[in-house]
Amino acid sequence: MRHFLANIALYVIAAFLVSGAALFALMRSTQFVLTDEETMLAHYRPAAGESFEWRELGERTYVANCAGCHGRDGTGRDQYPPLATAAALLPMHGGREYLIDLHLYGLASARRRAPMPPMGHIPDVALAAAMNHVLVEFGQLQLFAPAELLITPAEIAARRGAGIRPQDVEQRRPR
Amino acid sequence: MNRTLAGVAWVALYLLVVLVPMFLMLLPPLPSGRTFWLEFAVALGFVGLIQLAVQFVLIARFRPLTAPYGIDVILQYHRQIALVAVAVILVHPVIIIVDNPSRLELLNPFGGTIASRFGILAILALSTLVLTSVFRERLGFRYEAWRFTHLALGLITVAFAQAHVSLAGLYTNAPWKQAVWVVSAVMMLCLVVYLRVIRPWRQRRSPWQVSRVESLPGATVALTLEPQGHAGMRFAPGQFAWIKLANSPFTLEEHPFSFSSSAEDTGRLEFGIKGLGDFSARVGSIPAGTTAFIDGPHGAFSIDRYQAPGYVFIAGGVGITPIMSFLRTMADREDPRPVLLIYADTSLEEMSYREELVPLEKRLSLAIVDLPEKPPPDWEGEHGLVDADLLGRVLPEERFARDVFVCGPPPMMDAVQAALLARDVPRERIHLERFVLA
Repeated sequence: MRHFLANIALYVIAAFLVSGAALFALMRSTQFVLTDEETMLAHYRPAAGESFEWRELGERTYVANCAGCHGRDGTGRDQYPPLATAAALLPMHGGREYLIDLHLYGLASARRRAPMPPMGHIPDVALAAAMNHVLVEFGQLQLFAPAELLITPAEIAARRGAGIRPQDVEQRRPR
Repeated sequence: MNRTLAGVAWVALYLLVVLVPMFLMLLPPLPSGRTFWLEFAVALGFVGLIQLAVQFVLIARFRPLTAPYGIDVILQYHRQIALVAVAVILVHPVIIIVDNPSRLELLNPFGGTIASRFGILAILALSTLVLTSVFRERLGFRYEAWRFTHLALGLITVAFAQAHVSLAGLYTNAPWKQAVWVVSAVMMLCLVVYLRVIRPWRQRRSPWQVSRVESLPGATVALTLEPQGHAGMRFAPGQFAWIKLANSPFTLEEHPFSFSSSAEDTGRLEFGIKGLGDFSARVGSIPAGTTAFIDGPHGAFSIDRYQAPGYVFIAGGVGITPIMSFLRTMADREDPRPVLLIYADTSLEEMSYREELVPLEKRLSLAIVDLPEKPPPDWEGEHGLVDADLLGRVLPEERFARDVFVCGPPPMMDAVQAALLARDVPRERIHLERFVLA
């Protein structure tokens, strides 16, 4: 009898563990929306003729999405590249598009062992803010390009929906 | 506490232990959420890691934990849930790669990240562990060597998997979250220290000595131990203990054997050991006076646990040993309850305890059915296997009221259980001892 019950318990417990994992995934994939993300982002979205106040949002988005690999100060580690010269690409031909695409669609490159995962789930405003945070705080934008070259949410929106593969993004890197 | 309640409470605690660390990861600081399948893969990894750590709790022989179920059930669960955990852990990287095939690079041992390399090492160690355990006998792996390898690989797997979680870093983005994982993994690994260091340390104070080694028919040895400077051990008939025959209790070489003596005699323990494994084959040559250490008593296969107006005992081969303990204990207690014993073995010569049973037959209300599979030519009694036909002939009328204890090789127990069920013996009256602990 003990062994019979133990066998039943095994299946019940195994099912319980897998459903626990599924519940966790469900809660995480719906993101625990405590405030409406749209409402929050609308606060940052620049109106016509207004300047884009990206600093606060950019830092927050960066810490939540990028710092895990690239480090809080953008120095990178191990297989994850430092972001110190990111701004050098910005004034080059096709550089802006390349930088935006690698965020939207990810990047698989022989130069780096770890692929850059696609970050397209981040809304335009937040993604533009995070990119600006990188370009200004770590990428030494002032050395390479004037401040008007900062990324705007509208540019991100324009490059969405192209469905580019991470390996193809690498082809677009300016040389 | 009530045994059922304790059993339910332990299961609840267990589910909490496995799931709470993962759900603690939902507290801020929270990284951004990802797709369902990716998060599911990560969650499976978390569940798998904690389950691996819990494996060390299951083998620690904590009597409060094992008593409600019987340690054989706990060890069976240890083996079965291990396969579930391994499946879950293998699915974890598969989903992650299917979700985004460019992550295939993470499987490159010379590429990927430090975290992915630890993950790969953990999976390699785990696969070796599982393969050497499932196919131990086919690989010709000696039990003692396997035991050491199993422990070492288990520790390595959990350590590497923990390093993988700590370095992967997405959910371990705060010091307290790192601590949740490290502390829970280390706590469970500490139970190895409890089992292998603290428990033997306590055993040092109560050594035993081999007082008699008697050869019985059927390549079986009756090993008698007597306490050295302590009162002995109280056990329930049918239980078993792990025995170490060595001058120091800090040896990995120990073997589980059933008590075959009366539970009323705490100062003289007898174990019936059949020369099946490499250790038990050597037992016959052990000199009297050898020091021994005992970890026990363990097990839930006992008449004291299931009181009934009468019993049926079915023994196959060396499975007679716990049943000898039942009968000898009942004789010492002058227990008047009726008992039917079906003693099955390959031949009469193989039956180790036939002679010992003769005096017990007089002291108890005991009916014995000797059941040789290959009977001698002049044999007129029952023969063959324990099947529904035989049970139909020999089971007493009041079979519904009696508790049935079956101990023998696993295939025999499965067949006997099926035959008993076919003869309308209620399932809750059938008690098995799954004595394959290795």
